[in-house]
Amino acid sequence: MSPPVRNAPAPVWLLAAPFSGVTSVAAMLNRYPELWVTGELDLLLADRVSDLLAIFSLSQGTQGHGLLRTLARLQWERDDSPAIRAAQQWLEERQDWPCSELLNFLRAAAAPRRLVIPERDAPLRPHALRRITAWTPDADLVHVVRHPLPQGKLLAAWAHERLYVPVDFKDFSQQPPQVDPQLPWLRANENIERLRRDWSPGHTCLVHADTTSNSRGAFRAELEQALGLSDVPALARPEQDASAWRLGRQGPDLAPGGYEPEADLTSAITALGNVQEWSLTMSLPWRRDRAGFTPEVRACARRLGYDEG
Amino acid sequence: MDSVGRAHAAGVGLTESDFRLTCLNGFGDGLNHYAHSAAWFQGRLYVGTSRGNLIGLRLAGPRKGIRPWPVECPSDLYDLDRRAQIWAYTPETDQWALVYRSPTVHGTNGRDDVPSYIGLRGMAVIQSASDPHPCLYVSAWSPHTAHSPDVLRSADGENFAPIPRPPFGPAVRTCRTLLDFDGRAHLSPTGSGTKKGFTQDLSSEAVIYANADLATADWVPVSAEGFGNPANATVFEVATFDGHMYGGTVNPLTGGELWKSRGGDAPYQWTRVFDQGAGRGQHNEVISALCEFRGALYVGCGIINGGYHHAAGIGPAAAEIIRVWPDDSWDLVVGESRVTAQGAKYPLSGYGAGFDNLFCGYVWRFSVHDGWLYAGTMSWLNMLPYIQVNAWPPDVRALVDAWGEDALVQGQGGAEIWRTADGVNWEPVTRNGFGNHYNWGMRNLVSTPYGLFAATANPFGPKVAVKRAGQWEYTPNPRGGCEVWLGAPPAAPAP
Repeated sequence: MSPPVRNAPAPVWLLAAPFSGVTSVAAMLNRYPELWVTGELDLLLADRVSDLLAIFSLSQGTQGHGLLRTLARLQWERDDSPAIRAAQQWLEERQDWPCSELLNFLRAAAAPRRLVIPERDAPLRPHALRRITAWTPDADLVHVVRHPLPQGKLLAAWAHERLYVPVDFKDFSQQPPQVDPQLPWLRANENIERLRRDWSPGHTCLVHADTTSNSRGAFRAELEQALGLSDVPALARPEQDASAWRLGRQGPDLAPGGYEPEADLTSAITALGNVQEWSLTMSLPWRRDRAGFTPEVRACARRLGYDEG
Repeated sequence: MDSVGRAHAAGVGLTESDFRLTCLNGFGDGLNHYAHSAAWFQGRLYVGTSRGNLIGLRLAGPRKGIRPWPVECPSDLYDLDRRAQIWAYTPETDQWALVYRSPTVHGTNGRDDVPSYIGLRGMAVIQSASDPHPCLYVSAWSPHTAHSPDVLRSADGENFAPIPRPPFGPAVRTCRTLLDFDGRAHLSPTGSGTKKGFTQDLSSEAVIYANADLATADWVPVSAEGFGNPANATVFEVATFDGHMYGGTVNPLTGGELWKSRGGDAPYQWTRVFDQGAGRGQHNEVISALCEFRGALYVGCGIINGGYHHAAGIGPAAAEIIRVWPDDSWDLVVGESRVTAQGAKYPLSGYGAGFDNLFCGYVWRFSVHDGWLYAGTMSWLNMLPYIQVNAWPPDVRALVDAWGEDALVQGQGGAEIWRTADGVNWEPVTRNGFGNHYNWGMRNLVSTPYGLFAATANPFGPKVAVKRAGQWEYTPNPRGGCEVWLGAPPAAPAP
């Protein structure tokens, strides 16, 4: 059985649409000594560890890597190949566990630090988000959002000439279906909005990942206030440096993923421009018909604080 | 519009363990492949069967890519006893009784044992103008060697007799729809056949007929052929909602269409709710199921012939659920995201097509029971061992290989039932045909005072092809043939 979770603080979920900057927010939060930031755990995909491992084994992506690396670092304080193997073995021996118990184990292992869990897959699926309500009703929810134009450009750049792209990222009105990032952007953000609507108001906040590069101070203050964090400490330890956050960088061959590969898209990030240049009315560079954002996307973006531009 | 977060009054949602088997093996006859129609009437559940469906499919014409054929077939289809049957279940005694068997006629093939009806595909309780009380009506499927299909009437659930037919053309072979609306009974042909071949899902006429008095032959068409669109090949499903009659089509060219009418004098005025398969095109070739629930009309969409319309080269693709509001706006509930004429749509449930099951051919039936909407699917996964997969896309083959064909079929073969209390949040009831992977379809779901009945399509009898020591052989299948399950919450313990 897992250690008691009684004294472990409630976790923080970072919920975002794909390519909305959740990894950079996670890296920034890693600087706070009271927080322990995980890789992408993908725990919300299933109720039982056995089902979770089955999903991981069939995955054509990097699902499971973040859980293995997080577990390895929490248990063995490293995430090299031997530790990943040990983590895999550890999980296989606990296939009968509910995933909620596995989460409690991670929470207890990180205590007294507070677990921060980035999630960019579950927001696409309300049934996955419902597990947050069931497992951690006392958690804080941070809705991380990025303007749909840079988000779309990044996702489109990532998907370009990629063999496997999740069906959730495609527009099936076109034959063959084409990647259209505004669809997962809308889907995830509206699902998060619905979840937050029923959440305790003092335990959820919205942060704009676009501001991390432009006004990092304001953004940080927003998060510090929402989560009750201390001031950013002096970088006394290397692992507290965001740029040194190990789980936000490529892992060993057995589990290289576990984070959003946004940082790998250097040229696309450079070409994003800045917030003054982003518009909700311009034609979309990734669409063959050069159509603009749909009315639903524009309405959602306005709700989330973006101007038409 | 969506209903996430709204509270609804609902009873107890059924789980798989709440269901018990009331009959198996096609009522003891593995040729009863489909529990093709069902209705609650005078305190009993009635089930009409279709016989030898998978055998008929094999002998109707060549089918490439399936080897061996999953069930043993005689060389002459007419050597089989394909007389369709009606069975009645009495809950108090937990007993099934055979109440009707199709007569035979002298066929155009010269045989004297041709069944009048090889299937009973639609069933409804309707009180027509001359009926002293609601009666049970059953729409039949007749072979082309017999006669045009009939509608049977029973006032007592024991005696069945045909009523005057609509003016069907000679190629019409079956109807699956029977609907009471605006004081008239309505039906539409949904299958056709001649000596040159047959198709069970495409009709030679895409028309809805209506009749206020079923004792007469006063059937009149109330819709134009294909609602005015020649590409609408069949009116496949009908339902009532918000004071309208709705009709959903098969359209292999551009995708299924949904139409509605307030009724009135024939022919009715119809307006189109959506076309082009609600923006998905051919992959929503057919409207397969319709059901009103909590102020919306739920629409099951997919591809005929189990999710792969071989003759038209459509699919395979998994099924969707859409819901339509009275103002004709619609939501995607289960399915594939897309940009449509009505804006961006994504699956509100979070589930992709087929409830994330590639093998879900269609959503076959909905039923509202105790405040919950139930959806029953068809799965073609059980055909996997017989399909030549060499031509499949490499990534799909790799996925099947990774999972393992046996593990897939044994663990996940069989149709599914899902339920929802609000239309958005769905939970599985069964994902493997109640543990019998030969149950490839939840063909009928019927809400009754005794619980929810689930009647299956299970064409894997009487003998099924099984591989032993590398060789295929046909062996008797004790779990082949349709099954009927009854779901009810466990009784509260005595105080």
